[in-house]
Amino acid sequence: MEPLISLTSVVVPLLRDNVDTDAIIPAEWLRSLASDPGEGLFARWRYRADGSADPEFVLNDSRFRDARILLTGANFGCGSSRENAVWALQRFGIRCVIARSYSDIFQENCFKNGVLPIIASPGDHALLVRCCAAEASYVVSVDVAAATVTTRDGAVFTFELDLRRSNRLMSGSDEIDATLALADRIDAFRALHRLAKPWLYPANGDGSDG
Amino acid sequence: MAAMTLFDRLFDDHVIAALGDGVSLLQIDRHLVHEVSSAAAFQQLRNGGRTVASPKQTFATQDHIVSTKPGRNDTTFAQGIEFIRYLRGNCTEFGITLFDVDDAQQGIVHVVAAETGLALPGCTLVCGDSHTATLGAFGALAWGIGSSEVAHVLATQTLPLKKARPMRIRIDGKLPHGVTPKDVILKVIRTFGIAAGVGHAVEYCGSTIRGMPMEGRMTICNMSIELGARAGFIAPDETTFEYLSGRTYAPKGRAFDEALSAWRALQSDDDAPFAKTLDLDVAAMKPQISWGTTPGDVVDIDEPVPDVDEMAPERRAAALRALSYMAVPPGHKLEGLPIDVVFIGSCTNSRLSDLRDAAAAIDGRKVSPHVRAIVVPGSTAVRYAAEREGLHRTFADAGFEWREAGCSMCVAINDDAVPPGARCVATSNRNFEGRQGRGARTHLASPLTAVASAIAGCIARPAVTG
Repeated sequence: MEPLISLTSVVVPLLRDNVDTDAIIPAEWLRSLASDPGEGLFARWRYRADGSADPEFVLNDSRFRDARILLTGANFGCGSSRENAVWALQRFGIRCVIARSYSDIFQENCFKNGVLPIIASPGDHALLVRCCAAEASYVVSVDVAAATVTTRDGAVFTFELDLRRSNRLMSGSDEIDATLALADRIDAFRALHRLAKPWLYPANGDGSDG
Repeated sequence: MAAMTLFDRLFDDHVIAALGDGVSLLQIDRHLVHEVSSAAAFQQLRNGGRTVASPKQTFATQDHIVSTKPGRNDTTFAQGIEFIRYLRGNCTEFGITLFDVDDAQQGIVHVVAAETGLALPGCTLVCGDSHTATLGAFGALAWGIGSSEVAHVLATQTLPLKKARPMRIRIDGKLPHGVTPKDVILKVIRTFGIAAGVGHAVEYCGSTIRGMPMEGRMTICNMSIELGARAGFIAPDETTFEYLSGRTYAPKGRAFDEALSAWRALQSDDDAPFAKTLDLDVAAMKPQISWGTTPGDVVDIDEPVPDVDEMAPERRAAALRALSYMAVPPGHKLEGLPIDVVFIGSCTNSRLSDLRDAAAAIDGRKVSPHVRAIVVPGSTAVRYAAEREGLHRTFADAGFEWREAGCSMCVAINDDAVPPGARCVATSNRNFEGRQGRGARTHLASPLTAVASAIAGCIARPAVTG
């Protein structure tokens, strides 16, 4: 996982609530392991029925081609658990989303891929919305260690980010390795758990324990 | 000892280690795998040179991209081949039980896990699918995960999880005729909102829930994610135990009796502290149907869609957008709107009781000639059971297509899609823009409303409600 320490980028505003993961990447972009999820990002909004780019959609605005920060509304990433939604954002170049809130699964999927989902307070969110409306190529800086967003005008707001997630974002370290390092504790737990609840450990495939 | 919720009991019983910041490493008792979301996870596992930690607690099926065309095989939907064969190879290599395309136990992962007895009270159960909470109906802690988490569970049979806040939804009242568990959960989502459950684990309780058979309880828990909650569950009771008795993977004989005494303790204490409690009385409710593009955009079947002029400005733009997408004028009634497609299926409403209700509602009538109506059983076992009862003939005689088991037109990853601009009454769980295909207009409803609409050729209420 590519570490994320800080980021300065133009903010692409997609100011809708309840953007679901089917909208972020529709099902037909899930049909091949080889397809580029970045191409499928917001496909229904980004492309017309004939496949051409819809100039009305914000991601097709050339000023946002290199945007790495997405500003959106509440409950972003609701719906399907498809991690392709995060891969699509990431492949397009987005490493940070700023929203009022997220669905639980989407938020978890972001952290698993080194994408930072910031929850902005109503006041901070409104400020960013106003700034983006006033200036189309509005730039902000994000600092992971300090958990701050700094606007071009020098306003700073903080967001919540626990130490565990912050460390993982900055190091890009593998979570599976960290868990495997606890193998002794896992084995000890399972030995006791198996004695207490043998029915949860099917050995013979027919419900009898082994 | 302090009073505990059922959620506390389920969670705490599986904590291997505290990892800090409220995150615990949890033991996973059941890992269900399907061909689409597992593909990237197996790639990740292989790239890391790792193996499957506990293959005997891992069970797989082919449901998402597999064709549902009668007589289907691996290649019927060409783009599915890659996923179907990759899962098959992975299961063979790692020793995972697979309910394959032609297996009598194949079907939608959440339907299969219930009918085979894999989902047990008190277990932790995960799957790379957001509707995994379906299996919370058994008093299990069941939740949907992403592909990276699937890889983590494959490699370790554990998962780091931040403990959610416990929430209780109490549902009381006797359901009126023509009102089903699907209507109840749509009403819950409409009333409390599509983000009410974010960060929470929902326990459903109350007299309505207690009176429901297991299949209805699964329909309720299934749509927890549409309420924003990753996990939703119901404390197990005699209905649960009776359902489980004799199922393939449920404990047998003395093992069942031992399990039973543990399962009976899986309740919330009377004074257990919930972060949030909500109540709903359903005694006077009507069949529900969605009008917009979120599962909270729901009205009574005979009620007009919202009048946007009365909405708060911040809601108005989204409602206008949804109504425009759905081609429903503000303030208009849905009843009588011509439809093109009816879909009976999905992990919400594809079990035998759903199909029995739907078949009975046909009552000798025919599907309207301009409507394509399909019935997709949730599993091959459901299909066989329905065929033994002759339900397939009832559907076919009325003009419904009778298909093979799978997710089908709910997720539209295979070729079961609603054409652009077409209007569909669906018993599935999501009415997002384009969910059933580009430009598809989805109205979520119960199997009874779906049948009434298929016959009328337009959105119609179930006959029994008059």
